[in-house]
Amino acid sequence: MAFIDYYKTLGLNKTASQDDIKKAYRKLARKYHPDLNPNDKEANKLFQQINEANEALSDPEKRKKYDEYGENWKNADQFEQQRRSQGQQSYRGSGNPFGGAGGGGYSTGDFGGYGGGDFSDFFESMFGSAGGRQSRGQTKYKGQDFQAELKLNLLDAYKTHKQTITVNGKNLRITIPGGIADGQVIKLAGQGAPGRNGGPNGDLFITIGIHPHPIFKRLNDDIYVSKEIDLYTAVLGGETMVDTLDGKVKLKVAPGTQNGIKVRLKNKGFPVYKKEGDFGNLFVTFIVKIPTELTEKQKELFEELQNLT
Amino acid sequence: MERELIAITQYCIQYNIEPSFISALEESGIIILTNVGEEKFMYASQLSEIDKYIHFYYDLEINIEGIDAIRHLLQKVREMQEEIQLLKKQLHLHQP
Repeated sequence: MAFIDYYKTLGLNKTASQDDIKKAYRKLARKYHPDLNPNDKEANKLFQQINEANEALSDPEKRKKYDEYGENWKNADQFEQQRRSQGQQSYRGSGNPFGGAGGGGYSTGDFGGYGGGDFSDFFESMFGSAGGRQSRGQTKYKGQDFQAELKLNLLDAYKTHKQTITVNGKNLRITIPGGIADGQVIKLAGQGAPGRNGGPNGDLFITIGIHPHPIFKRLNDDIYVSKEIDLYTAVLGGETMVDTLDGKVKLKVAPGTQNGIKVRLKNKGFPVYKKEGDFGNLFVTFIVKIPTELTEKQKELFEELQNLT
Repeated sequence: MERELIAITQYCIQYNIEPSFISALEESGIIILTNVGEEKFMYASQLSEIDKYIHFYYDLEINIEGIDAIRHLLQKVREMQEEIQLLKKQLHLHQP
């Protein structure tokens, strides 16, 4: 657990007034607030940090303690023991001098719904983690929205299925509809953090990530696949077996098939999200494989062909 | 389609905000309210958006005009993010 320089986080020095702290915090919060930086994890992380710094420095009691121990916070126990033995001052609460001090920890302060619950171990160790103050009287705040990621492979996303995910120690069984897209977000209303002062629970947003498949490439509801065919089949025509998402199909190869030509198999692509029975297309690109090691006889025959044209 | 409505007065009491703030959002065209008799209501589907605007206004001290500008810019950001995702996928199709 490393020391965190809260002054540095807010771009201030130790002599900063409460007004300076408030101004610096608001300026940075406007820059990094999650609502102003959608899908920006780095901004979200920075917002948590400035929120934590503000929580520590805007409360005079917490700030005093932070200033007093600063980088020597790990030795605070020793300082406290020494102080007590000298009969100068004692902290509320016994045992850990940091636990329970500062009015019982933090709340999300000015930003109900953001930043709470994710303060660093350093902060928790120094100030505890319960209760807190309120910025707008008894305002009812919606609980914090939770964000989660669920990684699927392409074949998982092909079929409607159930998955159990664990969010904040709670198991949730969710249905993943077939045809779900990479980056799509599923909202589970009320599955976020509990609301405060009677406010509603936050929501859980699950972002779906789909791993690329080594054979099938997906664009929206269409699937693209390459299929190698030999030169003779390409020239003379024939049949070949092609992999689809639900098994193999026999595909006719027209005589004179060119390298790179695409064939569309209607309704053999990905299911259309929440439209049962609707599927995209499967595009098969034929890659004509040119023989590289010819026998003498084959070479003669090719030359014969060449002379005929 | 039936849409859930929430009375503005109730909402303001619950969230401890001034009704004038909600009216200002409506006047600027940021949200749409509806009247049932004498009472003004908001659509439940707008709740999360309004919650966001409350943070902007009360916590970040951004005025109504700023909120309106941010709303437009965020819409553009979302559209651009979707376009980037699509382009990435198309690029992936052409990679061996």
